[in-house]
Amino acid sequence: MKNLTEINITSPAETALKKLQRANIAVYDCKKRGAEFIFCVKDKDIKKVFAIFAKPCYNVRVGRASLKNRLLGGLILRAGLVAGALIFAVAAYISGFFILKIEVGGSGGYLESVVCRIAREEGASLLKPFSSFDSPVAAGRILSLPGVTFCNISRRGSVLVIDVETGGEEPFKAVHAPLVSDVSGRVRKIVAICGTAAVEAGAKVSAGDILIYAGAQAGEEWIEGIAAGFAEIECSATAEYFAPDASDKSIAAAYASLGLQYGDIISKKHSVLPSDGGVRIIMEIEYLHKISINLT
Amino acid sequence: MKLLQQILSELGADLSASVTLVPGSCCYLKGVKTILSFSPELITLSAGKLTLSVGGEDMQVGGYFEGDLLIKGAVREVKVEKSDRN
Repeated sequence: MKNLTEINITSPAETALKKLQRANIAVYDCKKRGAEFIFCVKDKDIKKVFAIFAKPCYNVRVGRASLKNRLLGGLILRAGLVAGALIFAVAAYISGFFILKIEVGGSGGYLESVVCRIAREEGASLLKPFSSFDSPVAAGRILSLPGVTFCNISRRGSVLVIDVETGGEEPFKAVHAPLVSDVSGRVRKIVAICGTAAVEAGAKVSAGDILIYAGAQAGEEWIEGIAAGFAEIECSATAEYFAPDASDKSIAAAYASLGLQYGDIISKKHSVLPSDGGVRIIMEIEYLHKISINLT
Repeated sequence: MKLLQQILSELGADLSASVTLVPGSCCYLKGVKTILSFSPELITLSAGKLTLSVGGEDMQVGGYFEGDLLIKGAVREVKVEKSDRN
């Protein structure tokens, strides 16, 4: 029996046992220690024991309280601590139901602002319960972001953890500038998917001229936007090649030296001028230069 | 246990008082009226017309309630004598 309280009393054991027997009190683990008689009684009998040995000639005291009473006494003595611990436990339990923080991790961490906005729109605001957050819809929206290949939404305590992974390719980033010609020539074709074409096919342009504006006219109002499209410009160029003679082989080598520098060559002609130790092959070519903006 | 009770009943024994001894462990007594003396080596009890002396080593009262007494320890002997008071 564990819930027994140990009583120490300065009295002959026989006398004490006699009195306890008369009072119908069950006693356990009786032993003598010097002048003291030590015994155990059930918790319910403690008051009776003290009543029986109330006279001053008996020095009676509780030697060791029962486990139950010790726990109870400890709790009463540390009521503040117990209350604090309880409050903490309850607060920790309740806080687990609410979102206190949103964390965005993974290689798509640079999308944090967008991901957090999506999460908020789907009900994941601070101090809102987790139950109000529509996780599948948010995951779907995050996955639809450019470059995002993986999205996992989990919960760590009161923190909403969104893991976003992006693919190897850099997401497309629009250039907010007009399409500007980098060569001089005649426009053969111009296509403006977004924005406004600044020139027409057949127009002559110089390097630095705007080909497609980043915006559009809406009535009297000019609306800024992006330019997206391409242009093909017919250009001409002259190149020289030094060869030992004017043979077909030398002419072919002269044109081959142009390489891919001029893109699609539309027309070409050459002239040969004598030079010290050989000839100078002068090549005049017309080629098609292509330029684009915001096209992948 | 039933057989023992049957035999004791046929013998006309007083079943209100009895001694059960577990050698080297404990001794259980029924019908104890009072404990006359108490020490680790000797415990003397009154059981109506009889006086019982329980001798042993490191004995202690394991429990005592309503005439039932459990003595823990190495009980060596139980001596039964007629009470002088009667």
